Amino acid sequence: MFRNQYDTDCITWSPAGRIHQIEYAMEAVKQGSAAVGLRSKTHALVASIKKSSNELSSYQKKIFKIDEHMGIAIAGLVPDGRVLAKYMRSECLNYRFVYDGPLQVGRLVAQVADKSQLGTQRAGHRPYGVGLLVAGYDQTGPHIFQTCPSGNFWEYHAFAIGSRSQAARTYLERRFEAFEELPLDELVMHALLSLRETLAAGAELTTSNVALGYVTAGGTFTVLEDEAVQPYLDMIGQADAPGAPGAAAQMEE
Amino acid sequence: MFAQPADDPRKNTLRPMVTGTSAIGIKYKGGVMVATDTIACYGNWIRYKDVQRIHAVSKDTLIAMNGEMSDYQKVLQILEQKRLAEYCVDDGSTQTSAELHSYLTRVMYQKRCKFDPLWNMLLVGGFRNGEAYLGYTDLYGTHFEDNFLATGLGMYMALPLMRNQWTPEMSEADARALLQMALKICYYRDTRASNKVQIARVDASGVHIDEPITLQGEWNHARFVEGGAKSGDGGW
Repeated sequence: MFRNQYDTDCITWSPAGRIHQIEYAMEAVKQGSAAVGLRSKTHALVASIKKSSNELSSYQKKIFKIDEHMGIAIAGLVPDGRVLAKYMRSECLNYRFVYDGPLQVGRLVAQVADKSQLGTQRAGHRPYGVGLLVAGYDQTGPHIFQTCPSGNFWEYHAFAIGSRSQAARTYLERRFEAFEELPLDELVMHALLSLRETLAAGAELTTSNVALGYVTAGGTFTVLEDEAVQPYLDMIGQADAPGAPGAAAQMEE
Repeated sequence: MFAQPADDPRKNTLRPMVTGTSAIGIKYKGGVMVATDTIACYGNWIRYKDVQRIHAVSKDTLIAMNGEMSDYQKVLQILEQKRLAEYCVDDGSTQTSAELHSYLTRVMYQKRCKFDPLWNMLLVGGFRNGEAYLGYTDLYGTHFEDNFLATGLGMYMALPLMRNQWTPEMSEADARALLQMALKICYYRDTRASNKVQIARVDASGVHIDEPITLQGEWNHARFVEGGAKSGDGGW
């Protein structure tokens, strides 16, 4: 499709100064089902669309608890995501053994980025084909980080990755300034509403294709799946009704 | 005939040579305070008379030592490396006193498992977010926290006094008075203790290590002055 003579490995530059393999890996993130992350003063939250390969199969797991104070949502190659989740869990556990405390989220994200970078500079390796949204709460408060196959990472107020995530980012960009003061349930509603923007025409959020994870000060990273998201789906259903608080926000656009 | 096998593993401190004696620490309302004397002994000889045995290891943590001086210097080097590494990360967070205490314990335990211990008993004191922290770790990797702690001979001399007098509502001045009293008792009863002592504290404003002070002993009790003359056997 895009073939050219400079894209067969990561250690060959194109004359235009690009490394195509890395860009293809980032493309894998864009193809993956969407994940969003956002935070308030008190909470960090990630949410994701889960896919199932056919009617008989289960839905692919997209949210992983890393430690008591941290979890991730992934977009892209799920097996790569599981490998990184395992790495992050083991780093957190190791830190707890040595220091008897939680690892700073930003420090772990930097470690993951360094690990990702190695795959972009070695013959016989490939970059990870997965992007992570990391939600965590530590000494410096709540955080949302994004990691990228290139070895880059960023911190955000709110962000979305994965397929059609531009729509969710647009949603978040218009509202993120108000997130700071929101209680958890309203933060969840914004996560679900932004996630809904990424759905293909005709698709709907259901208890089986949505998963959420959130964490707060001293709290345990909590994953909400299946029936546990129903109350929030009901809330955004009501928000659509004319006159409801969420509906007003919709009309501002 | 009894030559050491050439492949015997290298061991460092299997017997402490230059040592510092008791370190004492207490929590008080709004901080934590630790104290040591300022001498280091080579056996029973007071070889070094002006030694600092309390150091700041982060902006809100200090440690006080007991045991082998050279091993303590190694401990300080290890912690300084950690501090520099964290300074380079520059992400606005610093490890808590509890984290440093846990780390120190892991180091101590690993070394003892190699039969090459760092021959120290250490107190870790810290204060952050209105919480005082006071922990103990030693050459075996034993570790615990308490409201008041002492190492070495101080465990026998100072701890019972603190058990009687410590309260969570103590002010800084109360804490200082209690520590000075405990240090004085150690000075009376421990041959390797000195009356030149140093007190340090961590409170909301950070680590403060005071200049050494000299405690006045009380030696003019009648029985001391009269000595053995009264009982006729040369003893008290």
